[in-house]
Amino acid sequence: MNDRNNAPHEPEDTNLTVKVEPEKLIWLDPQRLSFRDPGAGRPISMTIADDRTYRSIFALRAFPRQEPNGFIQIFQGNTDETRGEMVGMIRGIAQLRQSDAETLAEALRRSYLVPRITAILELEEHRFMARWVVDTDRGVRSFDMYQPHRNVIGSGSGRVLMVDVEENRYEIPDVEDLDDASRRRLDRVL
Amino acid sequence: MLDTRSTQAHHAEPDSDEKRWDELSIGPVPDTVARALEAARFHPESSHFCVPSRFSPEGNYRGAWMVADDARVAVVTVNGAGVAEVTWEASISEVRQATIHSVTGGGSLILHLSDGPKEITRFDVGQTSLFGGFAHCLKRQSERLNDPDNAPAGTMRAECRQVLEKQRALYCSKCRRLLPRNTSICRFCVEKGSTLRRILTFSLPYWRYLALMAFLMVGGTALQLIPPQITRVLIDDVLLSPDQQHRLLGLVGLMAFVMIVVCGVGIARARLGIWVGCHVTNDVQARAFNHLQALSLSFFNKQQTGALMSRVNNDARQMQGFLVDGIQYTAVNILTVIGVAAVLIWMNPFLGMLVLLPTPFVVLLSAYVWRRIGRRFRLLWVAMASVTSYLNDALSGIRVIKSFGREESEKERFSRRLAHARSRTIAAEQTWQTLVPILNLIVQSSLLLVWYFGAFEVYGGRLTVGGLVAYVGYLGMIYGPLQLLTRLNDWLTRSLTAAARIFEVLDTQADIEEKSDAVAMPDVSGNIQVRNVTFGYEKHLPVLKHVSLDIPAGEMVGLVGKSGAGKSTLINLIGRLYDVDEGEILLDGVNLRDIKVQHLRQNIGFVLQDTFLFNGTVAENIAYARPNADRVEVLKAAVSANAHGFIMNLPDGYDTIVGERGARLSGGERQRIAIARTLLQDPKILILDEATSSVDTETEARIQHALAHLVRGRTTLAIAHRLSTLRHATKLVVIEDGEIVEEGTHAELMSREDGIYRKLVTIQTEWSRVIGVGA
Repeated sequence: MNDRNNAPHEPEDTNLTVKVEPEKLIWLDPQRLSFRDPGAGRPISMTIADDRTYRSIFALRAFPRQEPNGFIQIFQGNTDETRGEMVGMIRGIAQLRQSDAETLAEALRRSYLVPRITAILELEEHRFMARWVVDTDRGVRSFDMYQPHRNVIGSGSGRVLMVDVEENRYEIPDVEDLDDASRRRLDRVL
Repeated sequence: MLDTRSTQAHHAEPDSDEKRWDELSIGPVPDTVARALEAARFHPESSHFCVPSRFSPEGNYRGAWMVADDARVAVVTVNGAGVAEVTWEASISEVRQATIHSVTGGGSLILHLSDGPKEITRFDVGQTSLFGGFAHCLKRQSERLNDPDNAPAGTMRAECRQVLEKQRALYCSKCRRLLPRNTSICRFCVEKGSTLRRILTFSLPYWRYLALMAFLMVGGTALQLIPPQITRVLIDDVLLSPDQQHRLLGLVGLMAFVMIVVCGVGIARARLGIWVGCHVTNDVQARAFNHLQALSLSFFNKQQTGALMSRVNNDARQMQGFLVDGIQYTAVNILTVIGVAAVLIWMNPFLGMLVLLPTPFVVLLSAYVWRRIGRRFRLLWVAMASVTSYLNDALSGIRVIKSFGREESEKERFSRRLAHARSRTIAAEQTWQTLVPILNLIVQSSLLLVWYFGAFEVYGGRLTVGGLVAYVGYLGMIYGPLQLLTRLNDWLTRSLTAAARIFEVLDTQADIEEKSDAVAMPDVSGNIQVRNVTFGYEKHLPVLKHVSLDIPAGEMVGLVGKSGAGKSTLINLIGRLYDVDEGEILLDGVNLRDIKVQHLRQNIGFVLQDTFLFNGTVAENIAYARPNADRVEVLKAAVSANAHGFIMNLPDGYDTIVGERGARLSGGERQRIAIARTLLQDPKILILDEATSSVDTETEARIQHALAHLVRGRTTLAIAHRLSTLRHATKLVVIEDGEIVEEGTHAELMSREDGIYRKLVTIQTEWSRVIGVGA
């Protein structure tokens, strides 16, 4: 031991921004959880039975592509309704009661604004960009895209991600599910 | 609070009120929305914001219109039947807090009202800044309504207008398309005429050379038209008349002479083009660089370094390409097409029309073929880039691959990429090898027309055999240039856009400007007063809020706080790297804005966390602020900075090249050179930003020693995460969320039971104990 133990409150060679608390993975017991959505855009709350109620929670997927309905991380909301501290993780939505699962799905829906493309209605190629008109699970949308051959990103599994000029993202979960005309349009850039 | 009023879309035609609504929006406001608003007693004259969010609160694309005047904020939605209604309304005075919550793909506007937080609407990524700004406006207006005595300056109208203008600036004012990042030049709407004229103004100093080039172009093109005519004479007058054999040598000699002259003129024209092009580009690059030096840091914060480098380098080179090759080839090709077409019609109007009629078809066909080929090759380039990037990854990470025994799976991943690239290569090359011969065949088919109908013209005595051969010769000269001209528009647009981007830099006004009557202050005593300063890099997001601070000359003030609290921003403002939004900063009682910028900078020395050394010798870097310093001064500065020892261990001592960004020196060594540089500058005010972070204890001790030497007799502002650096500070200032929360000496701050500084020191001491136990 050195004399640091007995030192008064004197600045030493340390870094003040070091977060002392190590992160922990906390699993939430689905049987003890209940969610409530008051509607009208009010925050969704979560109660852990025999423990406490979180007035406002946010939910995010740990593996949004590989397992969208599993590994859901719950965060509590800050007083200004931004995402705050982590509360814990839910292994699978299916383990929750039906009504709670639906409310959690709504919480997830609030955290992701990535429309899923169901059909490509038009593709118009200009000199520098392409204009797409697509039908999505959130309605019809048209958007511009620079360099479509770079911003239409395919993965081996048939999933395609599209990024428009404003960096909004659109997802095609599986190219095989598109109709022939949509696939032909996609093939022009992919 | 909830108020639902609706209106149908089939009301009377919009009057000028709709136009006024448009001024409060980003695009046109539909009639139905305007009517619903007016039914709810919102008027364009008294409203300030009327913008549609791209998502509804439910997350669908049927967005909602956010509207606000001085007193109320409301949401208007348009249902599937085209009926607009005000679906929610609240008094702004009820808004306690307004925030945005970012999510993947966009965000939400959240208002905290008397009955708690509520998500009002959702928006996509492109609207994040717009709604962030709107939330800020609402919050400030609420403060004005609830506490008029302490109301923030400004008005809701002015603040909303600022937010709207910022958003509008992201889009082209003509076509409303989003502008590429870091530029206000729309590639669709670039004004070719004015940009071209501006490029030519840069060429004006070289007008004599340009005139010579033009002369050579016209002359060269005219000369090119001569050989087929010689061919005609050769066939008609010499080959078909054996008694004219004596003219053969003369005609062939003439043809050889013309060919040599054409070649010589072409070489001279090309060399001249390169010379003029390079000089003009050089002038533009130098002007752009000089202008960049005059711009403030806020300009560089908005622009990425890479994008600026690209402007000074690539865009200028593209402009050079335009000047060197573009103008020449375009002009030569146009002249050739016109000249040859004129000759063809002059020689035989019937054949001439026959050959020229399919020209539009050939032009359209070429455009189509090149577009298809271009698309295939772009896909091929992407695939090849993926292979290259994978190779780079795999070879740089070969140790990791081997250590984890992943060779087989990596081989498989590489084969997949190769196969993809292979299929793209085959598709691109096969398209090329199929379409180009077909295009050539179609183009050359006009030859068949000329041979067939030309023969009848010969039989009819309207054309000689030599004339027909000359005709065929001319025909070969016209289609090449025609095909090239089909790609002219694309290429011209690209070059002119590059030029327009450079001109944009040249046209940017420096926002830290020196007043014409700025005070000369070569020597200052170093009294700094910060008075009620508010500042944000984005004006609606203040990083510093109402900060006031007095730093007497010669004293050392330590700034303490978490990352992002606003410490670095404060020192940037004191160095006038940015101008404050509100309040003022005085040096010896004079507002920084009123002092000559050069004198201000001379008197302030920076030793920053990220020490930047230029690629040059150690001595040059130390003497950067005073290039005329002699060797003894450089040595003394290095000794005072505890740098002399390690410099002497470098292979070339003070003449060692430090490498790009000082890469060949360690962090601590770079720091000490920077301290020596500042010592030589000898400023009255010193700014130290985390000068001893990321170095080991021994190096830190050396730097501390150098710093102790440096701060003596100077007004010093020091930021450090390690409190040990601030041990000698006369005063400590704790900043949290952009506000000064504590101020005093170490002892004074430690005596505050619940003080933040005391808490920080306690955490630090606890941490030290942990280390101590661990050790």
